Amino acid sequence: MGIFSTGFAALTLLGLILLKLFPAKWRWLVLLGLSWGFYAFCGLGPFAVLLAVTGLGYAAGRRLSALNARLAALDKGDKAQTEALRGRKKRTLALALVLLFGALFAFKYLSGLTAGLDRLLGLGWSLPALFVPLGLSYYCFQSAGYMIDCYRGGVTAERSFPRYALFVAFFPQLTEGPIGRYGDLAPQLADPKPLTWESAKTGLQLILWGALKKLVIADRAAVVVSEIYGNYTAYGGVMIAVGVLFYCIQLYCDFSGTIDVVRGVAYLLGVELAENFRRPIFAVSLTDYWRRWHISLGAWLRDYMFYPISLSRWYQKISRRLRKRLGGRFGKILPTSLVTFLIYFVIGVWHGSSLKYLAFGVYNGVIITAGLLAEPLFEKFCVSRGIDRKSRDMRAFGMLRTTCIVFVGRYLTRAGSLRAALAMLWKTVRHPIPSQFSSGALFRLGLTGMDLALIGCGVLAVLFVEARTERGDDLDGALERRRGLRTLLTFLALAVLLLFGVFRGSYIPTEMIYQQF
Amino acid sequence: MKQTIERILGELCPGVDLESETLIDEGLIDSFDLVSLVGELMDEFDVELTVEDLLPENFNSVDAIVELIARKR
Repeated sequence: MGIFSTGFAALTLLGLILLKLFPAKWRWLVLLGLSWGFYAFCGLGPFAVLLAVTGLGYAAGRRLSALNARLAALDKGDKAQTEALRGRKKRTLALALVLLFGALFAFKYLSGLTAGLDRLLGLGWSLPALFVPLGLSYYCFQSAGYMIDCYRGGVTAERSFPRYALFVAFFPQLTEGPIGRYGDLAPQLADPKPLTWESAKTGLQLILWGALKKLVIADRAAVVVSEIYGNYTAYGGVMIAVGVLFYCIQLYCDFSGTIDVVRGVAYLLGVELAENFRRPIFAVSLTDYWRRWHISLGAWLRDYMFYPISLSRWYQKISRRLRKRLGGRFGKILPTSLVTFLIYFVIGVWHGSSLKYLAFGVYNGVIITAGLLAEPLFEKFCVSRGIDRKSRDMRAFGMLRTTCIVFVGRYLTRAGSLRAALAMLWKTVRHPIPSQFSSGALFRLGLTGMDLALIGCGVLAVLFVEARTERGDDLDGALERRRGLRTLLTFLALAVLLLFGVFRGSYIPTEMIYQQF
Repeated sequence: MKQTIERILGELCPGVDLESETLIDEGLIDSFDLVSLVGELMDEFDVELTVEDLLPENFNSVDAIVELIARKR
């Protein structure tokens, strides 16, 4: 059951009715029932995996919090006992994380890895593909964050198993995130806010905007993307670049649209989820882009990987040696740059085990690390030429540069393989065949002129809203003051959604892209 | 101590407002700068800082950093 399905809409509606009927103290249980029902409907195998991961997180959290309590009660002079308890805490967390990520690895990567090794080394065998439980990596990362928070003592473990289970399985965010934090989410889930006119308005507005992006823009762009990426050998470089441009549009409208719907549904149910996007189109560097795109994953990797590795004793020793040996600014930033590279490599691998994702991770990691290391030189260059790096022109230059870098990266993530992605890039550079484009090939890719016009208008609307929001304009407040315009726009959006999104033409609606990760 | 911290901060993030009370909240110091800063502080003042110390309130201003180091010494 996908988020853009009648079943999901019915589930949300049922949730709203039940939340209204049940007294406040049972509302969290209603949400758990709906969430488990939703997941069990997706398959009993995946549901069993969800329960196992929930049980693991619950048990590990309780154990870690119990050890924290014993540590706090200990006499400060008792160093031997303190060390022993700290050691047990570390072992508990390590075991829980190994089991958790072991499960993620087994379901998501193992089969692909053995198939890859078979192709490479001719082993003659590979493991059959297992089912990949819906949203596995999202709830595994969320559970891991909870366990680490318990280990650090930032949160006290949840005593009630069903309440903890709701934190892991809250159905709107289960399939595509955002990856929530226990400290933010658990109090809201324990006591969901009652539906008010204001929250209904905000929630429905988010759902409408998200559905427009996904069903009207992304699903149409997907037709062009499938055709060009699937038959790239038939197209020249210019048409391939057009396909990649459509993929960029599809990916952003698909993921951000789905997250808007997820946040809107959660809003209606009385829970405010964290934002997952902050207008990535306006990023001035690749680092800035990753701070704005899939924010919850980036923040997770920062808090639970980047900081712990960078500040661990063993890495600090390496850092000190590098600082002493290399000296200067280079010596200071190299150790942190290396961890940064690792993080972006992990972002690539998070998407999947195939070579193209590894290449995507390396591509991002190399560019960002090189940028960090070259930063002093660039700064010196700007000072010597009197260039103001905060000027409007430099911001525009930064945005253009970032767009180009992200654009090239998108060859990798959608192509069938690394080889196909490289071939597509090669054709773009060396065999553009612009005549293909000018002869109207765009209109022979499965979309009508009307469809293309809808994509164009949709993209302009998205850009307009994002540009105004980036500038700090309060669009919501402005529309609140002009209620007539608001009503008109809402009806217009609804009409466009129904006419061109729900009762669409002959093309097939696509699955949400980030659901597969 | 304050002057040393200001020097380190100035070197790591050229142009940063050393009087700011919202270095982290406003993103004047990002995660990369923060880790580099912590490394430098540990070297300079011979203290051990851990992930648990990486709270915005400990790094939002030069004074907050001074307090953190004083606590850790």
